[in-house]
Amino acid sequence: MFANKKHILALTKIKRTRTFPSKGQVNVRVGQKVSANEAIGEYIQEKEYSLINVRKLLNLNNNKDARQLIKCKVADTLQQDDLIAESGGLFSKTIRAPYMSEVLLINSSQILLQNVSNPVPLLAGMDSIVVEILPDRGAILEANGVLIQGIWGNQRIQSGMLIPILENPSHKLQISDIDVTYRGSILVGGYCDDINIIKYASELPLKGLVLSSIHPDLLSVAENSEVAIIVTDGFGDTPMNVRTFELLTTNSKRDTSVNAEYNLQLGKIPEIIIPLPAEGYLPNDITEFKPGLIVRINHGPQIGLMGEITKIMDKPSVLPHGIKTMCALVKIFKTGDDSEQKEQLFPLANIDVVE
Amino acid sequence: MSELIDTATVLAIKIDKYTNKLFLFDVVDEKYHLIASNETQTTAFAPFNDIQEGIIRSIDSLEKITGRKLVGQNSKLIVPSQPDGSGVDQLIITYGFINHIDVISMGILEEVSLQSAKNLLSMTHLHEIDRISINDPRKFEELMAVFANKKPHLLLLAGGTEQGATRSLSKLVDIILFSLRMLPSDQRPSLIFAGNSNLAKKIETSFSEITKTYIVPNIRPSLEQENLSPALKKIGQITTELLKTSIGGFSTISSMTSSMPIPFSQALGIMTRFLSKLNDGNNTVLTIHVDKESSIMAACEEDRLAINISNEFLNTNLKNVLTPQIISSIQKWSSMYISDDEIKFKLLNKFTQPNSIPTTESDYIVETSHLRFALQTQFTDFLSKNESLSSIFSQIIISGHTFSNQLTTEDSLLLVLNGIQPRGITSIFLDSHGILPALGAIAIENKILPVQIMESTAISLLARVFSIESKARYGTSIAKIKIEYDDGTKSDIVIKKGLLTRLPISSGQYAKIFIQPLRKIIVDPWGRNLSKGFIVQGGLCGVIVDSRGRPISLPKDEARRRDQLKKWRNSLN
Repeated sequence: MFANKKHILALTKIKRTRTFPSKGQVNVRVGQKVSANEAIGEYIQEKEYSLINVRKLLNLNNNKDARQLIKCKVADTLQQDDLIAESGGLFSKTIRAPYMSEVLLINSSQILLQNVSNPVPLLAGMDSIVVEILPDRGAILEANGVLIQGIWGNQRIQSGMLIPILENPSHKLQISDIDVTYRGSILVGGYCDDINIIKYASELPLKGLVLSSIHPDLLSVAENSEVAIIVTDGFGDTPMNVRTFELLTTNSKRDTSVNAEYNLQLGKIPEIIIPLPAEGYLPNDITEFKPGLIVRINHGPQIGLMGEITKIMDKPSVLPHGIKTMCALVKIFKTGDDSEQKEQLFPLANIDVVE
Repeated sequence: MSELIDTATVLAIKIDKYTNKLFLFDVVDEKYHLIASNETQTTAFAPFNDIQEGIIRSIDSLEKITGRKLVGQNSKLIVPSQPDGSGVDQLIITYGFINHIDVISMGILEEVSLQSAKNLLSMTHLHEIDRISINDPRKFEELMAVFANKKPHLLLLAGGTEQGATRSLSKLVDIILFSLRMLPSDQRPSLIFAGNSNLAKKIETSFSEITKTYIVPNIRPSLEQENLSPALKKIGQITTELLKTSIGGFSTISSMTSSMPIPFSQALGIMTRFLSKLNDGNNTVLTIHVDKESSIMAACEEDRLAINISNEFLNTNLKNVLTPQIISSIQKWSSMYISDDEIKFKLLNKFTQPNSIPTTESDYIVETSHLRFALQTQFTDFLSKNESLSSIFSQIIISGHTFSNQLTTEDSLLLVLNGIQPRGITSIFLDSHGILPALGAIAIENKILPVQIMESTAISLLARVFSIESKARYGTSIAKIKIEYDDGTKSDIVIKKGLLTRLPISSGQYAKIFIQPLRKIIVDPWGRNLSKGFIVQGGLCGVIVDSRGRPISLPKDEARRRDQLKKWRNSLN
């Protein structure tokens, strides 16, 4: 059985393909260093058209006359207010481009324009180097360093200095934890259930906020915040998994990228990337469950806890409420409160392999 | 018999976004049997991006289970079977991939042709991303932008009754023609024309050079009549063609099948129609297929088939998960106190880990209550869209991953009793393998196999349910049930209002039961004579008398309500 995978790695090679949703213009070159919130190109997100009826607007009698007054041709790029047609005479009437546009079609006395005035930037998403250009489509970027994948993000991309302020994986973030000197940084908190924290983070502003968990009532505000917000472990009061905690607290004050783009349907997972001056290997995306693998519990009361698989059960096991499913025995790593390692049975569906 | 010999070994693949399920059938003692089945994760999406990887793994497991060789040295399935017994004679595929294909529907009037287009699309796996009528307030340029920005895979154009006017439709046709011409040829959506047949030739001539064009019979031939079946079948074929280009490996696997792969909904429809024709065609049948991707309901009555697909509550966005209506429904139907916050935490954690399995009682209760809400909402919507359909079913068949992997048999039954709230006398069956769509897909070419598999134990009777309705107060004795067993022994049970009662008839056991009213009650809403009694067979959950009334009303007091829900659940165990 293929394992659910979650990358939480101290050093790895991170290769990401960043592509436009439609045809775009790439503005970087191979070998160029880019930061997470730097545009690697731009594209027109929502196409907008204008159909201009020259005959009607200039009050002419026939299309032939109208056609003779048109000053542009197909494929021309017009700046805003550029002349499109002019009637001439003492009281000359003019038609001007409503916005920066491309002339798509001239048919009879009608002109079809496409608005090209508001291209949308495609951000790099991580501090990295451009390794390949995909003409009109995007680029492939590469970096080496820490890679931590979370479970939810608010779609923003930012980079800044990493400031961990949580004292332990179960830390609950308080508004008093946030100091004005953290402005422009990526703050690592714990569980957040105070809407004022999200608002304060936006006002300060912080560049990013990494939380172990968040209260569901804060999601709307978090989604609208310009601060890049990533949740690493769950909803509700869930502690941060120990590996993420260790990686974030031991890399304090390093430049860090937060790519909070998240779309479960499209397989987009929010990521924290801390570039390091060392060469890593590309992580393996496909693994089957086997003893010895390090896992993170992804469901139930032990969500966020980590451990090691000691045995994959041969047959489906019966859970307390009667469901039969394939399970593994996992030796849970010690946490601050426990004196010994516990071995417990978990459905394979409820564990993510961490590597 | 010759059909049996030609296609003795049949491999059926049921694939969706999450799982591949393979079923291997073969003839043993001149009868088809399910030899083995296997389930693995789908590899249609990243990091694999090719469904063949997962399917080959499943076939490997089938080879290990059965000791048969199914794959050749070139790593391809051996079709047809060889003299040494390797390979299969027939490969069949049915698929989910709900909402993977985007469609824009277009029609003349919102409440006529577009309504029929909407009804048609609600029976398919397509995702309707926009709807354009002749009275659309958007400007021509804005409609053009819709085609360019939303990038539909498919356009469904309806409108114009037969012999009706064609001018309005021509206006829509001009808009589409112009808009499609402006798109690069590789981005042009295919067109299905399902309107006035007088325009069919003109449409075909105008569009065939620009994009793939399909003509189907008018879905709204007159104001009073709707004709969706031919278009539905064609959409199934077009969806398959589109999936071949958008899902890695789908085309290769499809090329090995003896008939074109069909969507789950169509396959389920075939089986629902088939089941309704049994027993002299007097069956009103409802099939419910729920898995991680979607929930499909199909009902058939007197050869009228209705299908409804929903994924609104199963795979929706975070905001839709947390509506006050959902939270309060879960709260209301939970047999233990779970705070609103806890419900939100559990729903969102489930949303981010859709494959996870509940391990605690509270997780399990939240998930089953959420499922109940989803099922009831979909069923209400289904009935409202199909007003001519009876809400009383003689058979309900439940199928899919949710019933076979996420719930116990008792809770599967309780989910149907609480979510659908069947009326009258209903036999509820459990398709524990989720085999029903596969059988529907097989039935297109091989009619014997589904019949013989249905007669086997692949689909089990879950319970025979008698829903007794009465206006009496809770706890009042409303009926006496006399049970006569095969060995001549008898027993009497008094049924009280507001309970679920499991009669002492064990699984597989036959008995005759007589219902003697003690108050004014309704057992059979059709008003048939029940005095001669019923011969019943106990299902996996026996024979159930549901005297809770319809709709089920829950006590307002929280403690009493939870206690009641616990009692109902315990009474099935």
